[in-house]
Amino acid sequence: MKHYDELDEQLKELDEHYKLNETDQEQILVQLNEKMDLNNSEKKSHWKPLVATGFAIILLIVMIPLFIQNSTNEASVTVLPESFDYQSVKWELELGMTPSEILEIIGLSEPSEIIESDQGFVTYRFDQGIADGYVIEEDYVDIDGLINEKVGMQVFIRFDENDEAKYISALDKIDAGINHYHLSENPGAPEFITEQTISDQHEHIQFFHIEDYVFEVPSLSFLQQYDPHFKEQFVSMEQFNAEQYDEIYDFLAWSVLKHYRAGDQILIEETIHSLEYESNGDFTYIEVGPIEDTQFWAFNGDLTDRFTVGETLRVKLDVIPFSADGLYVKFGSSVDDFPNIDDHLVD
Amino acid sequence: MDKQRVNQWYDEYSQDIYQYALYLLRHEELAKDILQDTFLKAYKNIHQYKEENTKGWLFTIARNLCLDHIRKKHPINYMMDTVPHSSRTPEQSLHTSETVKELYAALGNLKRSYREVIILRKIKEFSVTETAMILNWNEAKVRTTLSRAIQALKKRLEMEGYEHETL
Repeated sequence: MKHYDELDEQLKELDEHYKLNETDQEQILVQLNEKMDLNNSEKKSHWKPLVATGFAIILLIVMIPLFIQNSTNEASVTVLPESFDYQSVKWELELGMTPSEILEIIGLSEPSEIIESDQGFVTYRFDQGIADGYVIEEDYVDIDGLINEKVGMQVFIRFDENDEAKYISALDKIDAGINHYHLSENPGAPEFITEQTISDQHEHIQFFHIEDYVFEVPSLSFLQQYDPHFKEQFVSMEQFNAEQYDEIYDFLAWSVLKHYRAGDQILIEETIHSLEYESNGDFTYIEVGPIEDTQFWAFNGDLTDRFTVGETLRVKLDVIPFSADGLYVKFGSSVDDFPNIDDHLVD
Repeated sequence: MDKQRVNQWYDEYSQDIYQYALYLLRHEELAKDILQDTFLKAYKNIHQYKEENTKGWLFTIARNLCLDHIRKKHPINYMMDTVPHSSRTPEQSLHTSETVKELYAALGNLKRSYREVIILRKIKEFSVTETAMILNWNEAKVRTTLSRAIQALKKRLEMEGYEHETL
């Protein structure tokens, strides 16, 4: 058995294990200094508008030939052929393939971009369906370009030290959002595929960190228990959690909600254990759930005068699509802030 | 001159700010973003800086940036403040001891106000007064919340198989 008598000491030890490495620390400082310089020059520009205007004119004269040259170069940027679509990525590209094998299958002599990470890994990026005049400035996923339909699809293939494909990822803009396919090796599941639909309102952080992160997905046996049915009765958080618990991976697979379909509502009835208003963010925490594992719901505004501890709360949560085929769902909201409780209360 | 000063602060406090954001947001890349944004904001607002407590001032900036992120960037997981983050680095999984990981996980599963007060008082060892200033609470609230937070953390750890001599 482990002891927490020395909890204070153990908490202090956390810092030793979660340090920022020196390379990242230095890199962030370099970027910070660049931004401070930029900020400084912007400030100066306010003081010297005439000089800035003059400089801009000179810059324009210098840049015009370069711009013309760039335009010519842009025309020759390698793009993924339209014939090699999202399904082709899924069915024709495999982990372990070499760069030349992949280029041969795709029918190109080079990728749109070769990205080298700080850790020395090489990633090939292929872009498809780029709007006229649009320039991709992001090394990795151009989420703005995809959402705004300036880019049709992006494919990323990262190679390991043996020059073999370590992961294959594709993001394809469709009407409903963005299809996301991600194939990689994982110690828990030898191979897994996630497909996610990301709408404008649900731009997900995973996309920004595709390079160095693995994504947790439920075990296959968990998914096989899939038994969709419309829930019309209230459940407690304990019951809800028990349904979503993946025993093999020992985590709550809230991201797939295997018993629900998009459009369903999750109805939850719970007793309020505590209420706490956060003035800084103007929202209220409502503590509910089994006493040994309480949950904290956050709702907009100060609700401390409106509800009391011990009161029963009945809420509905909307189930929204998470994957392109709608089989994976999650609860969520289209709001870009804490929700209003009135939108979720059930009489 | 201001830039030089911010660089000095960065040398001194960057680890602390990064760790604070990491414990709060539980995401390495976001914590790095918060780190950079904190010092950039400090630079831009250096005219507001009062000499007495640099570290506390920087933590206040970092906290506001974290809160801003939680409020605006997480529409999906808004309901469950305790939802574990869906991504993790392989390095975290491989090189961190089981006990530390459990403590980190237990801390991350506490509600944010509990997490914050434990990070500031117990890990970063700010005084009650400093913690109250950073969190914009009064000192009594810091004390009572810390007491409840520690109890909640112990409860979480008990669920993970920890034992203690006296209750």
